[in-house]
Amino acid sequence: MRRSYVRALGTVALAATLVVAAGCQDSGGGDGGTASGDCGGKIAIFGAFTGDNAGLVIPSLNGANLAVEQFNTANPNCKVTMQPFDTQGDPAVATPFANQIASDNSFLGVIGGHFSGESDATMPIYQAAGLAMVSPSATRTDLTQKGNTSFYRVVGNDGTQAGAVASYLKTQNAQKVFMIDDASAYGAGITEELGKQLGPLVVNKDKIQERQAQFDATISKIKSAQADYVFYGGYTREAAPLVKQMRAAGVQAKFVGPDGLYDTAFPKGASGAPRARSSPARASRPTRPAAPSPPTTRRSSASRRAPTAPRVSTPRRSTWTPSRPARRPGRTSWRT
Amino acid sequence: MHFDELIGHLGQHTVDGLSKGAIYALIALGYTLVYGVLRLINFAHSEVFMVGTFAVLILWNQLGVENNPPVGQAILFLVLGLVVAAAASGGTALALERVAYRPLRRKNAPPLIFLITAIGLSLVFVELFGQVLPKLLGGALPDVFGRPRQIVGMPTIIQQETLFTIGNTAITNIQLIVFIAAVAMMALLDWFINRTRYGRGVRAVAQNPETAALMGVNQERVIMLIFVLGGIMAGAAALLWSMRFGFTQNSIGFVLGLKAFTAAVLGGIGNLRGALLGGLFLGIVEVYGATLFASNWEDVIAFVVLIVVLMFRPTGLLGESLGRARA
Repeated sequence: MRRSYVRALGTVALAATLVVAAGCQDSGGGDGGTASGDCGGKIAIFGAFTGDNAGLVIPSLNGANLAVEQFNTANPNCKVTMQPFDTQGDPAVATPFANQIASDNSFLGVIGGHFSGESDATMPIYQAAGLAMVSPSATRTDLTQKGNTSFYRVVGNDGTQAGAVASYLKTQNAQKVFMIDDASAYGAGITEELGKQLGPLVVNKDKIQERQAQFDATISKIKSAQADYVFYGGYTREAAPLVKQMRAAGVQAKFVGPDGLYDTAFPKGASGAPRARSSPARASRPTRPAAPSPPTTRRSSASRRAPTAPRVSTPRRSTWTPSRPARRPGRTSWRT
Repeated sequence: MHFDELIGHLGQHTVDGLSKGAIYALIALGYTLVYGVLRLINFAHSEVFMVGTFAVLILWNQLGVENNPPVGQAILFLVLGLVVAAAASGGTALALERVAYRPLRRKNAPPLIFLITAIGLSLVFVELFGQVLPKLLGGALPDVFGRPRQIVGMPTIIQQETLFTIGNTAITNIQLIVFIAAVAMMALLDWFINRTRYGRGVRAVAQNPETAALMGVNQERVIMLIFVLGGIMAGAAALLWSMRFGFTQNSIGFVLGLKAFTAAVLGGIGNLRGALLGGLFLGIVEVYGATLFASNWEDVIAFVVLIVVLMFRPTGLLGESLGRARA
């Protein structure tokens, strides 16, 4: 949970700043009339509050809500409200919301986007409207290199994260690293950067695709490479079944992932039997661990195996499009 | 291109492909049965499978199943899982037919309406399990519906172990179970359609609904029967999936359904043995493709092969027929 706390606290701080800014708007406000007269106002927050990767974003939403609540308790005469917009992480959903927010004068600022793809798509709209957007988690490197004056973020970028993974793997004396990514801008970007930094330590790599659920081919590649570490650049939805199938197939290589896996759904999806862990009945049976200890969501005690994730203090995310491709039209005729 | 890897472990990749394709084939049967009789692509069938996986998950969750139970219990859990999944999937398929398709048939709706209805139903089920049920049952079943649209793991019922090795090809217990169970279910269905009285009715309606009705075949009953049969096969596939991969999600049916539909078309839609052949063939092609290039190429390879096959055999590998002639 540590990372989530860090991120949630980051969002609290960020929201607090915006809230204070909202509260002070009355003195300097020229044409941007606030909703409730002299004081208070509205903040927008947008991101994937539902969907496959919502577990990464909801802590941030909760943090922002807490910050607003705290401010309103401390300043009963100057209440600020926050309006969430659920984009499901999809740039195509985020854009109409951005237009709506931009055309509404009562908004003072925006928290988001949480993913790089939606941030990238909406940055120009917020810039044109003169609204500042502050992201808790969009990490694609080029977001801050486009000359956009609206976009700010309170995390490091993918380059810092890849560096942290590389130095972690080196301190663990990794010899054969197998790299997998999900071919997304986020996953492939981090993995490519890591590959550069690891050089000859990378024995082989594979690319999977979003929504893939069966990983036989990837697993036999890991086996023939005899890797001691597997790095996966991507999100929980594919990582959880991947780890589960790796372990079932007897691959004991340690699994390392970036912040796309900082999600409580990851251990849930990768392990399965939540009761099994606390059951003394099974203790005498020598069983192989069905799931890896998910490093990013539990504190590792001294007795447990060393955490397999790098201690990275920043990063995260990029594009995610949950688009359902159009179904193939079939020839149907009832009673031809 | 990793030719050496593919050739070096050809046997292994074939075995992996067969066990992958067996699940496709079981789901493909549902598409093919309904198409053979109604000439309708039931796109909601992928969600029939998804409901089956959730039924297994809820059952195992309620029974408090843990990882690696003793063999006796494991068999019990699997048999119970099969019954529950088949009941849930078969029931869902039947409900779809009664609630959605039958009223349309009564009104002689044009074929496109059926197609759109099927896609709409599919979305309804995806969101029902993704959003509505988590809201309603999130408190009662936190391990199943804890968060909207989340991915949920299931306990490992059978620990995967290598049973025997031929050359450098290792065959695991789970692969063997999946393959044998899938082929057995299909053989059973094939026997049912070709050898029993009910099966004869199904074939008769597939060949010519009006004549079959004149000969005293109860058409509505036949249609209900094929939906239930397809649902039961999807339920069996759901159990095998749960045993082998051990996770589910509300959106899990989409890709699998698409693949199963492809398998059905590849083998010759409307043809039961074609679905088996198409499924296994598709599974092997995907694993070969993923090995040769990278895993994100497997769909590209699969669909290229589909197009090539359809160029030379436009009705699929075995041709369109449920039972026999369908002019």
